[in-house]
Amino acid sequence: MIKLDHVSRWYGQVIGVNDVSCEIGPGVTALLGMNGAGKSTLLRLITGQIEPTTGSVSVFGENAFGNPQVYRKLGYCPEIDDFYEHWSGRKFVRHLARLSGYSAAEAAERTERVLTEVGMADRADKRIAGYSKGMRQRIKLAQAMLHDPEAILLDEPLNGLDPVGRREFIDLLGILAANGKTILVSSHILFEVEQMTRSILLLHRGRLLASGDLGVIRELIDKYPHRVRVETPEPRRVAERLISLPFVLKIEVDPRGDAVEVQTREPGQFYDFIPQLVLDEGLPITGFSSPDNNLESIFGYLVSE
Amino acid sequence: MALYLYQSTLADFLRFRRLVVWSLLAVLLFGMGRSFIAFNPNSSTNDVYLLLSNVIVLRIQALAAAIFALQVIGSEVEQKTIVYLLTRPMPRFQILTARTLAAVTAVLIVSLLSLAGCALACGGGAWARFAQDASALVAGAFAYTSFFVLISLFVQKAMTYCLLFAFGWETGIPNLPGNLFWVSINSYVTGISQAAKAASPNSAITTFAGGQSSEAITPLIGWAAMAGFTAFCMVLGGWWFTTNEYVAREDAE
Repeated sequence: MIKLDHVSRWYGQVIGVNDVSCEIGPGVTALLGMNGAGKSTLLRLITGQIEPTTGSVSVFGENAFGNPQVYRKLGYCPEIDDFYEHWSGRKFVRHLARLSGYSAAEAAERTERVLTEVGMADRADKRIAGYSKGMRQRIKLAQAMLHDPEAILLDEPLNGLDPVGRREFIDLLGILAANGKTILVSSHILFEVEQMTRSILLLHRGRLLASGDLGVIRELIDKYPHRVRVETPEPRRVAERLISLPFVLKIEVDPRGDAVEVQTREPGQFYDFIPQLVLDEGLPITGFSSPDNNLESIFGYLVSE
Repeated sequence: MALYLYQSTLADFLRFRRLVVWSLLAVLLFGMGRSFIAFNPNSSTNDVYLLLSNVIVLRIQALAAAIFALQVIGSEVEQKTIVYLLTRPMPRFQILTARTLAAVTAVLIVSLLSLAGCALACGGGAWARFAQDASALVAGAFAYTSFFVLISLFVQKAMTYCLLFAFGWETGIPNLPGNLFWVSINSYVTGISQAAKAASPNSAITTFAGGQSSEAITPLIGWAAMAGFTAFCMVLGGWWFTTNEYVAREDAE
């Protein structure tokens, strides 16, 4: 449905997207990459807002740039947080419905339906200027869905949504995907993406580093020892206990004396064991985090491959 | 879709608060006219009307054209809301044309309000000339707006250029000696209104409102030139808008 063939896009001397080729079909596909990786550029290329410097972008078999036929089948939820602030959310969505070619009555009907779907039906009469970030995200999503497009492109859609909103949003994407829609979601947070799909496109500095199943990425991560930072006021006591665990490979005490860094090949077992250490043995652990649970380390692994 | 976009854009351009501001300007012109007549009892009310309508109102029109023309596309790009327009199933040429025509209509309405303020202040014979001056404003609204829209498509932050044109070029060029008046919109608009011919021989309007251009430019020439110029600007603008990218600058990574 969406096909990119050796697409590159330059902004003067700066490259936004570099020789990207891929095909995106029905279901949820995540476009994963750090800030500045080229995700938004790729989405703008697919939505025909910009043209590739080299290569071609085709959406439903047509050239995307400025093509009204493409926009009949495509919904786009941009990352920007800008609206006609003096309008209400309902007026904004209805306006865009009219611009999608619907009569006044049909636009009103579609607006109500889509506002209900995104959970904004009862709040949409307030001026957008007074909306929270989450409400703005919902309105953007509503305008992308209102013409029942075959493909929906969402640029960082979970930004600003509260946990309940995120859950509802992810469930909604699942329903849309189950109905055969093509959904492309960009994100820089791996944890978010894992909840939505296993199909990913991994962008790094404009290049497509990997595409396919998220499990491939996870396996790659698991080839390396997983690091966990454990915060404690008694690092030597904690280190002494942790090093006795069979799945712990290495421990380093932080020079500041407030944490230890553990390396393990079995992060699941390690995380399961922590509550036992605190509750049964009274180890003073105040917190833990993993420096490996971010995209930067994944890219580090991929680039070093 | 195009008709809806025209209507909704016009409604947004002329929303209540904005209309109040432009109406206040018309009231101000009414006050100026009454004051002018009160403090110059020997001057003809016809001359006062012609001076106000062909000097002040035309400047107001150029200002209004700059303001509304920049909202057609320029401010959408600056506010980043352009993405919502460009990802609708509507040809870009239609988007630009519908919004430009809405801007032309808005410019015409606020210009006519100002003209009505002048006519009310001067009364009598002023109303007899109202239709002819209004027709000149129609030509001016199309020409100024389409030209300023074109400028806003070419350059970012176009307001400076538009105001320089409206108040620098358009004030100076029609009154310079020689034939430079041919390259000013103001000359053609005053040519259509034929204000200088309607004024008294020693009226200030012959100095301030392109008196010599009114001699050379007949209403027919004025209309033909303005129609051609407007068509040129709209076609060139439509082609440019269709073939070029309009993404907010900050977003162009």
